[in-house]
Amino acid sequence: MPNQTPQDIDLSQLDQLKDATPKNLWDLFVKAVNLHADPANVAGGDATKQTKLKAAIEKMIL
Amino acid sequence: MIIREITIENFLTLYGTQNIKFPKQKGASLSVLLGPNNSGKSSFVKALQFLLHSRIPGCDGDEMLAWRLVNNRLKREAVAGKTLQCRVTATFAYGDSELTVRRSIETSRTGDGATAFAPAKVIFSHRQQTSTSSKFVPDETGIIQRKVDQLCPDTLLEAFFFSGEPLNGRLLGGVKNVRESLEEYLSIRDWKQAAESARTISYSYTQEMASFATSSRELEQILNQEAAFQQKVNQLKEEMAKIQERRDESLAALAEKQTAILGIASQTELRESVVERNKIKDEIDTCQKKAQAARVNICEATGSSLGLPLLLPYVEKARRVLKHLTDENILPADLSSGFVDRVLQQQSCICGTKHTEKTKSAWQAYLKKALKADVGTRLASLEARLNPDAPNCIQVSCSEISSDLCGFIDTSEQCNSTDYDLRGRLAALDEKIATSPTEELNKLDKERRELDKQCESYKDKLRSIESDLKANESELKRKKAERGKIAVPKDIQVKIQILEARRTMASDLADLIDKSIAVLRQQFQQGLQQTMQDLYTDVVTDGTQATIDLRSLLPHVVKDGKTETNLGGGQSQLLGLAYIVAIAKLRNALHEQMNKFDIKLGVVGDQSFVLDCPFSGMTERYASAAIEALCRAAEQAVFLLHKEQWDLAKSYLQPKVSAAWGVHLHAPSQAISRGVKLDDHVFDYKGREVSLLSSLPPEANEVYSQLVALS
Repeated sequence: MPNQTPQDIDLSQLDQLKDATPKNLWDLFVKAVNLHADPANVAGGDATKQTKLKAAIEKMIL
Repeated sequence: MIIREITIENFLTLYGTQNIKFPKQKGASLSVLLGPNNSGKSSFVKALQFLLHSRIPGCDGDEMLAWRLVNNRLKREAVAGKTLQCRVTATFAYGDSELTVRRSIETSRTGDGATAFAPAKVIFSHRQQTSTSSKFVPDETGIIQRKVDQLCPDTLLEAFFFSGEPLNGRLLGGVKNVRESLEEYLSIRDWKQAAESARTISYSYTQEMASFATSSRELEQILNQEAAFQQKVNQLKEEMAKIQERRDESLAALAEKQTAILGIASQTELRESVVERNKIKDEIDTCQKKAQAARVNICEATGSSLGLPLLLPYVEKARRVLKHLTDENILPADLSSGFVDRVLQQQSCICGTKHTEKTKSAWQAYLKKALKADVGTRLASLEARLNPDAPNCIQVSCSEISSDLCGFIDTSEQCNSTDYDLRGRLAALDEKIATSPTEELNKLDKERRELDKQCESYKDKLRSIESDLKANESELKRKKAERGKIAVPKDIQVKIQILEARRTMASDLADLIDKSIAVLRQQFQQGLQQTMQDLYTDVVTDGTQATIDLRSLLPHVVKDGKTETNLGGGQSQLLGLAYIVAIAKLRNALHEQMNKFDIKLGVVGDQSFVLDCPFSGMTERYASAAIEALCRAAEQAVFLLHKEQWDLAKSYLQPKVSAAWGVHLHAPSQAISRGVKLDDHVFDYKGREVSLLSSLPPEANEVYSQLVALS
């Protein structure tokens, strides 16, 4: 009965953006968006997210 | 997320404990809940809305009045002081995980009256499983609610669990609503928050830098100025993003309005004028873009000329001076360190006075400082550029610059003049359309003009912010260059360099997030277009096609290249269904594919759809197409149907149904004679007649329902 075709979404432009971005900046980007989307960070609020992100930036540079 | 099991206890018309376990199966699972009108099918949808987002109908958002949701029979049976509880518990599956949540209402009877109840207490909890036991724990931190928000955002609740209203009037009605919903749905809101955080952090590094600079007043002053410019730049970038967003929204609303106007105008002789006006508007946009590009070219050509044409009047004079210097051997053509050596070997200096230690050391210093800058080579190159026969002489360069500038200025003037003509024609058409005898058209056109004005004003604001931003960025750059010239102790310099690198990283991060959001939006729009094609165009047979407006993200129907503006109820309902299924399906794909970038948007899995009377206004043809679309794309769909809709869809739906329940209505005889049609309650399900109505004695005041399994 069902005709379930797996849906695809073309993310080639994001791929291109990744290729054009220095690796450390891309890694930081991934960390930043992941920690902002993580429900576990709700309790700490924005301040916690900013502190974690700042620590990640510091770590990337050192 | 898929509903695995739901238990509803004493909620609205549903009395007692009602439990449904949905079948687990590979592929699409279609279930039906059949029931007479007013039997409480909608209570099922409301229960889900209450459970997931604490929607409390009829209480104006006041949780204390939530006792109104407690089943009336239970309330009537309770004696004063008795505690009453109503709750909804459900287990949802997403990916390989499951989440069980419960929202309950607690109240107690305080007297005899119909409204004598204590303020209600609403508690949201989730099941916590340990190795030995399982218990419900209140969600005090809000983490579980946040998880639920991610799985099914509040703004899309009515799309996925909708209760009977035509979809186009609710979900598809507002551009703003759809854009906002999708933003939350695709986690763009979280990304925006990440960009804001990065900008705040970038500014905090600037401030930290300033705190290190107390050793030098000059350095401190420059760093403070840098901090101020940095803050301004951040503010302007944020403001620009916000206005850009508002402009996009207005442009999307404008596109909607124009389609609606075209729809009405198609029935009048104004159609051609409206089409012409839309064409002119597009031409004006193109013209403005061309003029803007010409202006940018003028600025760039002027900037890269480094003011060369301004030197033109002095070229002849400079050539004469250089020639004189060379002829008099004051300035040898090969001015170099060799020249200084020759001067020092002479008894006298070039001014004729005898060399002393002082003159010799002055020449040595000159050798060290001035000649280091390679003055000789530069003067030689200047002399070459002053030569009219040289290929790169100043006159030739100036004439090239001037020719480029004339070209750009011509283009800009041409665009301005075309723009003026087009606006004249536009004003005439506007006037013609504004005086149309059709009242609705006038109203829409007035709204369109307002939106048009709004878009123009956003455009102006953006232009002004952009120029402000450029000015602040260049000041920031200048201050950084100035800072580089200040002598500072080594240790401070190192600390400042580290902070500066961090600041750049944070600010680059914010810009990268902004860019990624734009890319994500664009690729989602393109995917949506493709999916609508699969779910709508491929299942209808009337030659119409679904298309997505890239600005508003709303679907339209097109036939023979023209937008169909007068859709029938069934067609527009099918379009709405295909749209909500498409966005759910694409979101799931997006979340999965983001994993390859290590970006975790959270596992959302397939989406369940609960559709209360979805076939309103549909003919059999559209109903079958809607079932076909859901079968193609939905992992779980639960249809809540009254008799009329079941009869309409039965032949298509019944063979595909994997589970069925009836909502059995218990009503006192006087209520039945008042509001319930007797022939409404007998359903034909898989060849047997099922009655879903029981008559209660007249003294039983309350109408209530209970679920019965049909399969």
